[in-house]
Amino acid sequence: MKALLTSFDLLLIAAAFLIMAVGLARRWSLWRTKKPAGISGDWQGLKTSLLLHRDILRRPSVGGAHLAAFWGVLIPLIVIILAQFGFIIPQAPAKLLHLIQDLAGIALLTGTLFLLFRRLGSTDAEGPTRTMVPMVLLLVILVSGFMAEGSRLSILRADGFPWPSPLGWFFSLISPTSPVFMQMMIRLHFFAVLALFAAIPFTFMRHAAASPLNVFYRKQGARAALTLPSIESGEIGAKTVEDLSWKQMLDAEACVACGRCDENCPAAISGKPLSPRKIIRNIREQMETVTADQKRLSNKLGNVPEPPLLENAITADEMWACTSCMACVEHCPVFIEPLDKIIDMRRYQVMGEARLPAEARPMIRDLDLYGDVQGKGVAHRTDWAINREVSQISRTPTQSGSDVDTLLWVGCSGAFHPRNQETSRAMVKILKAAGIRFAILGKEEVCCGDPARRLGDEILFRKLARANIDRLNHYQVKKIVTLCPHCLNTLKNDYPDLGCKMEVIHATELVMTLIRDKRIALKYPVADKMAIHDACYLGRYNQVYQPPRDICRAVPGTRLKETARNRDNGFCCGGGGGRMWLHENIGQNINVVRAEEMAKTDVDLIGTACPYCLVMLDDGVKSLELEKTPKVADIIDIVADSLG
Amino acid sequence: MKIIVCAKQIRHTYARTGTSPESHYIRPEDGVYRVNPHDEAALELALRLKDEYENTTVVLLTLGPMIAEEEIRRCMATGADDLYQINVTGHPPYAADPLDQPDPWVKSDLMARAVKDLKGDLVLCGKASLDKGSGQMGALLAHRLDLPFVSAITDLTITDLSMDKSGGTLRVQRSAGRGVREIIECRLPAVFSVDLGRDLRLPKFAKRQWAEAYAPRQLDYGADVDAPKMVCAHRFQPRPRPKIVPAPDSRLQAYERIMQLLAGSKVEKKGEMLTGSPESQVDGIIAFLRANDFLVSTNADP
Repeated sequence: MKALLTSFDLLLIAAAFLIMAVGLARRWSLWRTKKPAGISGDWQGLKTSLLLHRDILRRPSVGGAHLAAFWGVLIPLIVIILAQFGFIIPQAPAKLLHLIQDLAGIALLTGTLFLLFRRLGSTDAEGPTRTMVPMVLLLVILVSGFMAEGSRLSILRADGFPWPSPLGWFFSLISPTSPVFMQMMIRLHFFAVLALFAAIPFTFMRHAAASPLNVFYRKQGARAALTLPSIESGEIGAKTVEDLSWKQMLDAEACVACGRCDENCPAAISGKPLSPRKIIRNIREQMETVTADQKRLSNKLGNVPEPPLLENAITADEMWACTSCMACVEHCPVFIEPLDKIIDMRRYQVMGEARLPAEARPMIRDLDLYGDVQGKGVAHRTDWAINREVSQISRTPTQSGSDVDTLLWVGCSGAFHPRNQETSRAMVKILKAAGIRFAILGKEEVCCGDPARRLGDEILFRKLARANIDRLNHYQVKKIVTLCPHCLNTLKNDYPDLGCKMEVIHATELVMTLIRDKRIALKYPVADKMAIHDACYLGRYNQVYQPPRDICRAVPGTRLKETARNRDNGFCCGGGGGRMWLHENIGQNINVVRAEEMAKTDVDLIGTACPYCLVMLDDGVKSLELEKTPKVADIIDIVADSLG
Repeated sequence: MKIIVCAKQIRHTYARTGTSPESHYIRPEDGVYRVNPHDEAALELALRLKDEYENTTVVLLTLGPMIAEEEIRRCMATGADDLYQINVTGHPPYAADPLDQPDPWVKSDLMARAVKDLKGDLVLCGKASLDKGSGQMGALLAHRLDLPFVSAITDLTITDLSMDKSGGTLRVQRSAGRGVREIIECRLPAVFSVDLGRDLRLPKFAKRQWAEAYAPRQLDYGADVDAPKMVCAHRFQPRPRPKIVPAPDSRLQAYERIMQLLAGSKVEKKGEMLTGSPESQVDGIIAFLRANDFLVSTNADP
């Protein structure tokens, strides 16, 4: 450590870093040319997610090992680099530094051994198990380093136990007292470190470069918002990897195939061919092909082959199995988003190739012609409100609608589905009981466009969204409360890109404030034991976890039970992402998987806040044919029942 | 081979939520403008032939104003090659018809001329339209062109495409009702009317952009057309369907609940309350009956 570097060593270091830099530059040429300049990154995210490993530590054991390995590399590296400058530091701090160095080494050794044995014992063919080289390299670095330290100690023959290097002392017992051996070990250590750095672009270890970069450039703004392609200029989704954005390509580079996405993906769990990890791997492989082709072109003239189609690697069954529940995005420790790639591929399939699954076509046609998913037409959009004196915003005294505090966005389910019509009426009852001045758009409302957008029909989504935005702007709506989490997400996260920004909240959020402000009082018990099913579009998409729970706690005599998977771990009902309209031919039905889990919690009532979840779970629990089938109800219905 | 698909642009009224008898209880938002679904099915059959055989062109033929322009452009985007619009602006107004449409005889005259001009080998049209439903176009076209006619076909395959003097042969499947199917062999040229069954495909983006910019070609046969042979004297709308009235609020008194239920069921009867003296009310009733042609007898003294 004390030996200053010779110029030959400096040359070696320069060579290693040159290899690393050139390797990365070549590998990353594809996305780096697309990256717009002046994109600001997220320093805070780097701190929490890289230095503190917040997201990796969601798996404590493996995350802890990774944390130990991370700091076990970083601290000694910094210390050794600083040591080359020959600072003169007093004895005590130097010893302390030495101790820290040694402890970091121990941490790295523990972490590496843990990860190594985990790889040896693993049966996961797709995971990081195939990456043994960096692990072995790390072990070589560690053993050679400690052997050098050990022989240094045994050469010095210090009296007593050298407390600054506990593990070094242990190694001194087995290492020979030979300066030549020490020098050899130092050389080996040095070369292994350089080899590790030089190998970054070519092995699994490139995640050490790509993943922090991906964390740094993580998606800003609403996580749930989908990108808004400029259709006019021909952006109709991803046909090949070249249609992906630079960030999507960086995502693919940053993946270490840890498999947390797969373990949480409802499609993968229920036996569908979809694996978010495989999608990312396919994209990375195709990126490698394209980069190789470009390299070949720059070397010798010739025709660059067309980039391979994404659908060659990713089948239709995979891309249409996604329920867009966002579990993969939630659980990725380095913020990779398989979801937006799936949506981009769907966009190309639907808009570019007109390949929409046949089951969904009638729904898309109805949306196009009649403006709702059931094809009943705007003329019938207010049928649910017969007898209910619900004011329509066009008929309120002032044209600007300033008399109205809140616009109630009913949505297709609330307006047409017989069961959700009940929920709409329940909401009206609650709003009237609380004395809120509200109105509905009535026949001027059309579908928010969520089903079309998640199925990839961006053109249809634009058409519907423009119609709605035109009306909302016309009445200068300030605040919207929606009954359906899908409408909530679309209005809140998707419409701002189209120039419509306003406060959008979900009915449960509003009801929660009404209960807290004592504007409504829940009087009557509804059920003894109930559980909450977290709707993906409410929870993971919009972080509304607490209001449904608080509401249910406010219902007298109700004991709230949590299911095994809840909140951000919540399991999808299988109805999102347009899956509501698609057949589920492969594997188990997702709604049955979820219903089984909910039924195991032993509850009388399952509360949810999403019309899709309501239908899916109700079907699910009924198909279980239990002796005592739990009821499934919308939380708004529960509140209205409890009001009396 | 040139396939001509006749596409009618219609206003499809799917609801009657209005209150005024003059408009037959129909509000503007109660209908959508679209291309007749049977014609869309015909287009799909034509496109399937085009997929299979090269040198096949599919031409859309529409008559009258472009009331469903977006939808007909969508039809273009699914794969048709051309769109011909027969202009009827110079014609005497068809005010006698409740929907301002020419009668089938006039229409078939215009369409037959267009088919002759365009030299179509195969003419496909919808079995019937959603707005009129007379189902005469195919038969009348075949009559005027002196071609074989098969009605209500659901599938279409070519068995021989040697387009020589004898013409090619086609094999069509038609639904004979009650689930009975017939396979019919037929020579080209021919006229077929198509039943629902094959849903029109989705448009692809590239073609969609082309269709957005496409300028329909005009056909104008002036005012020199056959005289109408029949006229539609009355067009009655059915009584609005009874609606499901949601259960009244359970907190209300029984009396009020019953009143709400009655009010709910009465919503569709859309009555007009007459006020004033008994005499003026009677006048009002008679005026109403007369205005709506319930009262045609001249015996009642006005």
